[in-house]
Amino acid sequence: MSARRPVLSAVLLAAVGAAAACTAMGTVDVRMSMPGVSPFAPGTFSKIIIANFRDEAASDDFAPAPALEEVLERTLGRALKERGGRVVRARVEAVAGRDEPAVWKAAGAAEDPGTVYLAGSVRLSGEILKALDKSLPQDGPFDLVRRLIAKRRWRLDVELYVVSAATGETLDHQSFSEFQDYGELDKEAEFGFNELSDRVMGRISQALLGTPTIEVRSLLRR
Amino acid sequence: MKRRVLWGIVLAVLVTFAACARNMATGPINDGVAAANEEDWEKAVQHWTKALELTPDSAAAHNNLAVAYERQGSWEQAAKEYETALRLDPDNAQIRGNYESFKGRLEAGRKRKS
Repeated sequence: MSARRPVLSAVLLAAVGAAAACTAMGTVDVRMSMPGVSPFAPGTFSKIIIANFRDEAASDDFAPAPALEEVLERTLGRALKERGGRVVRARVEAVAGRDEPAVWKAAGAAEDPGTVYLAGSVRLSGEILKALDKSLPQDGPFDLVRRLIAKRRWRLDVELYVVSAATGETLDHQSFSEFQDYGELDKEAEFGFNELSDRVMGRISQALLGTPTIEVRSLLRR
Repeated sequence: MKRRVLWGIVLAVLVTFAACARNMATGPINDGVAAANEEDWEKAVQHWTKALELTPDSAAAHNNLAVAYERQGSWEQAAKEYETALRLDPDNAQIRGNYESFKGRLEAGRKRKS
């Protein structure tokens, strides 16, 4: 019996070692940011062509349409990069929402499947809002001297069309509006655009590509 | 007696080898998990792809690749890898859990428009 003990011990040790080697691998839970899920058909947005946006209210000192195209290219390009998609800008002789699908189809004839045009219009409008200052007391002698207060409001309206390059059909049409009031009446259009386009882009990105979420997944070690 | 001990050790080595040779991919799989933990998912994918070259029927490597593809937004590739992983190891609760979460998220996202 005692002669067998070393052998048995060695076998037992090996079995325990082998079991440990093969079972200590388990799982590792990882938290990660997952890209949003696009509500469009799979494969859409493999390439986005930002086509010429119409300026509905161009001013002398600032042109919002090219600025919006630039923001769209930058923001969507970043979002699509990880998915292997890309974003480019191009001039297209067609007007979203007005021209027939055939015109868009002809423009996109050389494009790969999954390519879409983003087109539409943009309006950046500013106005001065005036109102009575209600913060002053309404009774007594001050009531007579209530003052007018004024604010500068910048408003950005974007009409966005998603047009299939393969069929020329409009896949989606949405409107996005944002406004911001400023105490400084001389707040520049470009400043207003920068602030408002950030907000609009967040909504456009979600509408097209979905909302990124934090998810937990299990990685296996064997 | 010495001979017996020697045989015992030989047997032990063989048992250990047999137990772990079943899955030659374990090394690259763990390397991939370590890379993923360091947020280097590109490297993780390389390790898991290598693991599949060594052991094509590794459910773990398929599962981990699916997670990496999901993280990239490559939904079709992720679905394919999850399904392969489940086919190879249908009772694995972790793979099933990952796949259910993946499918649920995909369905919810795609329903938004309809």
